[in-house]
Amino acid sequence: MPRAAATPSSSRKRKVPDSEEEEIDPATFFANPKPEPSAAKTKAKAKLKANEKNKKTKDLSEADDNSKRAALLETIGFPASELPDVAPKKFNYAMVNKGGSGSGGAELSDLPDGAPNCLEGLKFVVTGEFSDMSREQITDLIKTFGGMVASAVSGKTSYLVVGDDPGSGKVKKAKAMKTRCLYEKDLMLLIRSSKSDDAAEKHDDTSEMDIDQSEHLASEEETKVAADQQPESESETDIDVVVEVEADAKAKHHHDKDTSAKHDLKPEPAKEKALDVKAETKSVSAKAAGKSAEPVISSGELHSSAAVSHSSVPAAAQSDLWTEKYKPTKLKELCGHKTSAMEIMKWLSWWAEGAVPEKRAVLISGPPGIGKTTTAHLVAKLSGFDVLELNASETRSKSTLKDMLGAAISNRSMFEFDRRALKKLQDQQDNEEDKDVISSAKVSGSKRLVIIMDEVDGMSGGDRGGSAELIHLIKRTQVPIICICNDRMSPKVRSLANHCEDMRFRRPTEQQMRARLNTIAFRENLKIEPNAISQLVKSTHNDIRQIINLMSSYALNKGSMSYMESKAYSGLNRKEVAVGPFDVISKYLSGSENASTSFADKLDLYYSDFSIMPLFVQENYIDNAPGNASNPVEELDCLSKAADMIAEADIVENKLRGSQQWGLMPLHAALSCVGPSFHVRGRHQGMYRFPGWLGQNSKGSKLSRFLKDVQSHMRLRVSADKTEIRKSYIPAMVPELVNPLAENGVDGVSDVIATMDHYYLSKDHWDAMVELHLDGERMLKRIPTAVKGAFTREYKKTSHPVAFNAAAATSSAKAAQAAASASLKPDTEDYVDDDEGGDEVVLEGIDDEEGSEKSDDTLENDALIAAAKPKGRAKTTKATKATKTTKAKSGASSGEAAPARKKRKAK
Amino acid sequence: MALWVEKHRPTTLDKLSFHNDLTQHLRQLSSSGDLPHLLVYGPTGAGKRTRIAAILREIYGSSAEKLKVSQRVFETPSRRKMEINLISSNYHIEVNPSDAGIYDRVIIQDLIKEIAQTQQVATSSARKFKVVVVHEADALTRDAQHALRRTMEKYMGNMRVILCSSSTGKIISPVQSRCLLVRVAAPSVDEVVGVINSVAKKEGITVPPAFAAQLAASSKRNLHRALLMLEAAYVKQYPFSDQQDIPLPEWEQYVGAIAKAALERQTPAQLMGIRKQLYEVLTHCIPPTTVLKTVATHLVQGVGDALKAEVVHHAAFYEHRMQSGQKAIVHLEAFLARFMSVYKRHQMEL
Repeated sequence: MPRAAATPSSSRKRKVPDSEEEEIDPATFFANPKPEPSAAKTKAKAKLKANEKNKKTKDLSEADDNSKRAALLETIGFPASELPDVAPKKFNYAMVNKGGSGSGGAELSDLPDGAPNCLEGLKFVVTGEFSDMSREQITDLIKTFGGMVASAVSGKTSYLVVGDDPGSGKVKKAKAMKTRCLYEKDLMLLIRSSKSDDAAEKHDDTSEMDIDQSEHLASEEETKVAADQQPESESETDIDVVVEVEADAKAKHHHDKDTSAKHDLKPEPAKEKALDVKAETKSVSAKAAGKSAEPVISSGELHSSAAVSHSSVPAAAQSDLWTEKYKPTKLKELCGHKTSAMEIMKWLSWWAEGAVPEKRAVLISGPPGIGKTTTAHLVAKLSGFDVLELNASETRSKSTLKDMLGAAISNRSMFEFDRRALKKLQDQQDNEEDKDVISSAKVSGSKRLVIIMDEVDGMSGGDRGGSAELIHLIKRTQVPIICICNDRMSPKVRSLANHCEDMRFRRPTEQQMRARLNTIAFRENLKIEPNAISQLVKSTHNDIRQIINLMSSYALNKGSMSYMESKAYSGLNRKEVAVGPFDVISKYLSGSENASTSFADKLDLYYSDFSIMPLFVQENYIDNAPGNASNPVEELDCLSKAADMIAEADIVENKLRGSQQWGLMPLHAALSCVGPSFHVRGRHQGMYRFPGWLGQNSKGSKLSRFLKDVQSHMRLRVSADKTEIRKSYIPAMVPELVNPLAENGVDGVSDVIATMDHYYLSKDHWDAMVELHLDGERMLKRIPTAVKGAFTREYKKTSHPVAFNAAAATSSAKAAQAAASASLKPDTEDYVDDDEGGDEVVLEGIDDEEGSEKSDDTLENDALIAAAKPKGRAKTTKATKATKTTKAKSGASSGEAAPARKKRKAK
Repeated sequence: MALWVEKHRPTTLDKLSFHNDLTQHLRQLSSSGDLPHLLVYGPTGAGKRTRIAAILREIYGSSAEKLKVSQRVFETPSRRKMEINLISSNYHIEVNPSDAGIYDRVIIQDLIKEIAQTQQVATSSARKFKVVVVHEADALTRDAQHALRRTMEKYMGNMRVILCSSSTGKIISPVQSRCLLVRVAAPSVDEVVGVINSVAKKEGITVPPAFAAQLAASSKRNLHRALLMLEAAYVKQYPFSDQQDIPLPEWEQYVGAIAKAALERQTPAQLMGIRKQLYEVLTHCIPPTTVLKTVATHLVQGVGDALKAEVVHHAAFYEHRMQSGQKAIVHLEAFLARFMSVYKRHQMEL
């Protein structure tokens, strides 16, 4: 027993150094995750009982595992051509299955525990609805086991997973491609079979084992096994299904108290190990034969993740952040934007040669976390420049910039005078294998300075004038300057961009990052599945820095990351990305995106900009072809339902904003965005438009302002209110104001002006009225340009009666004062004395001469007419005083003052 | 160059040509030396304002006709400045608080109270009180109407209020109960014809009886419109012929086109086109209620009997919603979408 325990660990120890020393290209290593499962593989098998052994076919050999696996893949599922047949006839072993384990059905729907990555390399397409699991669960399941899930059937598709009511397109395609199909339970079988295969194989290896013995080992092995979660190699295949199914059934039975799959596994490998140990020589040699091509590192890997990694990884994490530790030191380590980096290096090399390029600065822009700063520093280092970095942590106002950089831009680095240091540096570079290094130091014999202005779009507030000063510096610098920003379009950066070479960094793709991430994971002993990497990339929006941070914090607790774990973990750390309304509207209206977004998420989308999203939906919903409408009538129904909800949302919004009931916002979100988009979700025709309501609304309010203005000026002549003016007067009056000009040309001008004067309308009002008329524009076109000009000139030449003057607002004390002082000047002869006038309206009957004078002293025109008048005539100061006091009291009472004065006058 | 409609507007109660009972009643009221608060209501073009002006003239004599316009600046609680136009004579002041939108309460509180608190200074005045005419009283917000309640009672000695409204429905009942309700109904078609003839006589033109009847009918018993259309028709073609078309207001033609489009084809693309037309009409200050009503009228004429009731029902439903909403366009669009859906289904079933 002690020997048995010792042997595996010693063998692991033997391998550990190997795996750590050995320079294995992690990319190839992980891409082909066939870490040999000497231990892991054992997991599955423990359950075998003696009677099973009998059933087992003994002629399996590992050499043809792959072909067997292939054979199984052939046998599982059924050709697409059989698809329409509802009766599940398909594969031979369904029958066996029934015979083998009677209780089949219920068990099949349980989550299967197959060998990790057993679906590696297989491509799946999922269609239809499933009884036991949602489609998403199916997808996750496949990805968990290393399979790929595509959205459409192609020649490369390995299996079509068919549920109830499958998509006809996919089925048709599958038939054309002769793709094999799986039902839900077939998929489970496929997954489960991988594990049983391992078991079977192991069983062969260890057929002489005494199972009882293994029990004693269980506790000892437990710890190791717990960590033993790493991806297993692609499972060797065993065709004998009877055995595996039974094994399965028994395993289940045996551990029926265990709830989780993980627990389920534990005792099994323990026993297995025991078997393994006994048969050590044999199994090791057999495995060695089978896997000679692969690096045999996984046990080392295993070991470290179980025991060593718990001490070593945290230690590493303490010493340094992974992002710092694995900062690229060579050009080839950069993820993406290598060409940009090369361009910057080329640009720097001109500087190094003493030339001053046309653009003296480079502006690097791109989203956060893609390595802009890193690239800048790396490039500077590789080109042999010293870096002077200024970032948002320093004040970068005009004066500090001038102080710090003003001298620097004509300076040279101290380094270049330190011959010894230079020599050392050169030696270093000579030794550097990396051919990317442009050793400018060698060329110029000196090391120079580069200024990196990081986060230039963060210059604000305290950095007054910093941006302008930076531009100024760039114009005359003798030292290369690299500016870095996130938002190229920010107004702060835009002016700067004109003086810089524009260098836009895009988000590196998954492919570009994968190798680097694998390297890091490998060095840190973190096992990470390929699908898990994809998931991380997706959830962080290609932010490599964040991925590395996620991995490093994850590695503190666990040694491996599977697809499901990465999904859960990145879900906790989800990066919130600012989304614009155009992104959101497509999430709402596009059929597939709408369906894949949960109600809660759709509510959240509304809050991305709750004032404009409802307008976006309102603007664009009509252009959608509702996906669930099968005929034009249903389509209109959907449209009408959506329109109803939008209308209801409008009522809610009125309450919401009118009485500040912000608690209504979720309801508004549901009614204005989520609901309508649910009804019309489907294919959108054309581009998404910006809401037209905003423009129309401002046009409408402009015109209604015009209308109010026109009405108030016409009020002395016309008693109608605004609505009536619009509905009856404008249709009648506008032709009268326009037609004379259109038909009689210049001769019509005087008629039109006479009409306008009668209604106290100015030329501006004329324009406004024409605009208010729905046919106004068309009518305007009928007027010859010359006539228009003549009309304007003629109107300006003469003076016109004004109904009132807007500046004569008399409510404020100031205006009253001004009015009082103006009223001291007696100029009231111009006005008709209305005591006698009787029927005359105050301003009526003013001829042109009078009008011109009147416009000189507009202040007193209206509200004060009554007040000014008696003053001219009343000789006594007493009367004047009385008037003043009345006026000061209130503007409105000036109307009342007049009769009082008149009375006095009459006396 | 005054329009006929203004030129021939009756200025005294004696000159009013229809609603003679009402005229008699008003004359008695105004000659009695006191006047209650009035709430004058009735459709547009029936003669509400003409009657109010006539009452004022009856009370104060001809100087009540000497109007002037002035502008006053009010400050809202949120320190926003608003300019409001006032029309006033020595004896009365006319105000349209709905110009101030949701801040009309400020106008009621500041302006009307201010007027109410000062006595009539003009000793020449025949009456002790001043009159405040509030136009478009149905557009007053509830807050403003409540602000009016107490003022109307408290300052009864100094001031009378004449509210002018198109219906009583939106006037809160406490205000209604403080007023004498004066209903000015739309003139009957015959009365409109009578007015047309009298105006024609004064202008020295002859209007064939058939044409006058046609004018009266298409004016929808709106006297403003009848006279404006008469003048427009006169400008277009004189002497009149019986077959001459009556120039409808241009917006009615536009709204008619919307209804026609909805009846023609029921597709999303068509609805999109209709939205553009709706925007066009709405931005040109045609009240949304008018648009919906006109469209619905056209639609009812365009569909079979089986659908008429349903269309009217939907029109009423969406009109009601529109009143409590803000963006008229969405309600109009919802109405037309509903109509299209209903109409299309109906057609498919046939």
